Amino acid sequence: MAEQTVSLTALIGNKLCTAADDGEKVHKVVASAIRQGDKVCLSFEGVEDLTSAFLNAAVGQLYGEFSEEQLREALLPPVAATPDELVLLKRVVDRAKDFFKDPERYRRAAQEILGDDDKK
Amino acid sequence: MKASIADVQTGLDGFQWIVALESELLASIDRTCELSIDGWLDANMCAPLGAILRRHAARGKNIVLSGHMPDIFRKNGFLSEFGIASTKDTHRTTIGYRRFSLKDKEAFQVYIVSHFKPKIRGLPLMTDALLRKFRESLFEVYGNAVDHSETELGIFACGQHYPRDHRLDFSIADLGISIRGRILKDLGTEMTPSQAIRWAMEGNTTRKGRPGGLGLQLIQEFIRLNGGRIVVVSGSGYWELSEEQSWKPRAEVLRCAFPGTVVTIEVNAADKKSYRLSSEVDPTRIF
Repeated sequence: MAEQTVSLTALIGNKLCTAADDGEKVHKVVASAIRQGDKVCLSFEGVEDLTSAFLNAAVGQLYGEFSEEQLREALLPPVAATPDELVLLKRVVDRAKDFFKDPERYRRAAQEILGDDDKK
Repeated sequence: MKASIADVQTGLDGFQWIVALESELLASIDRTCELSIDGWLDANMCAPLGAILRRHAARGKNIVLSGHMPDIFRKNGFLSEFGIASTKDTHRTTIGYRRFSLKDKEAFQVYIVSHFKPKIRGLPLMTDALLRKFRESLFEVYGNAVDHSETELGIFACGQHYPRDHRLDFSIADLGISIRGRILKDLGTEMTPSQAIRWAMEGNTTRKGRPGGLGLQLIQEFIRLNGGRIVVVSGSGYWELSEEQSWKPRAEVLRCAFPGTVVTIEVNAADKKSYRLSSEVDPTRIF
């Protein structure tokens, strides 16, 4: 079992971590490392801009492939992240956990909106 | 067919005008449409306007622009789409009108960073934190258009700095499936355009197999802190969040449909807040 540091900007070749398809590149590397039994540390060194779309693709979707326990073991604390970047990452992770526990919530939310308007 | 721009500002009336033009163009059998630009048009509204004109040009209409044509439209490159030469923006208060295809991610990134980096001439003196929040908001909106719209004619962007009002407006428009169309296609749920926008702004997502929907929530949180405004138009739905409305979302139905989605972010450029968070996250307790 090894520890890998994945530098977001180095992997995607860009300081702007904003696009979902770039997040997908990170996801592939991280998922592969975890399957091999390695631990992964995400480095935010050099990140200039960061979006939830990128993080959902890079990290969020891991929660659909691995259990929360597996990821807690495999994902080491991120490094070189600003406080704001950590807050965004945490929000994405918490949302991902909720999403995979209940993927139908958004369909139900749609029904609720229709129901709200029917009552008016 | 002839139409003229009277007073098109970012807001309900401005978008009523835009969709009325779309409806006229659809209904008209004339091959040529002459649009006279004599009145006021908020420059960021070049994005939805340009989108509509492009759509009809692609359908074979000959779009001709005429009239006084304020300098700003020569400077921001809007008129060059119609064969009218652009002029240099020496004061650099315009944020150029551009069209991007779905594959132009890098071009959009370069465009945003070149216009919104710290201390760039012509931009209001925004704090680095505010600039970063603004840029990230625009990337979230663009990303939504790329991921969800299925637009075939591109994504249109334009902005404008209003120094006297300390305001910076930016609009991103697509000619895609609309939020309502996306929900119908992905969830099989029939909603009105207004309901669809509300559903999206409440942080929901149609994406299967991967979480999403956070981007629009983050933008709303940022705009509330900043004292700015966000306007979303999709189909015939109009949705606005601003301090003027006491931060209660305002939902209206447009007289006609916009053939896609437009998101406009208006930033209070005089905001000096640090955007430093009151609570920090422990990196060992994220996952």
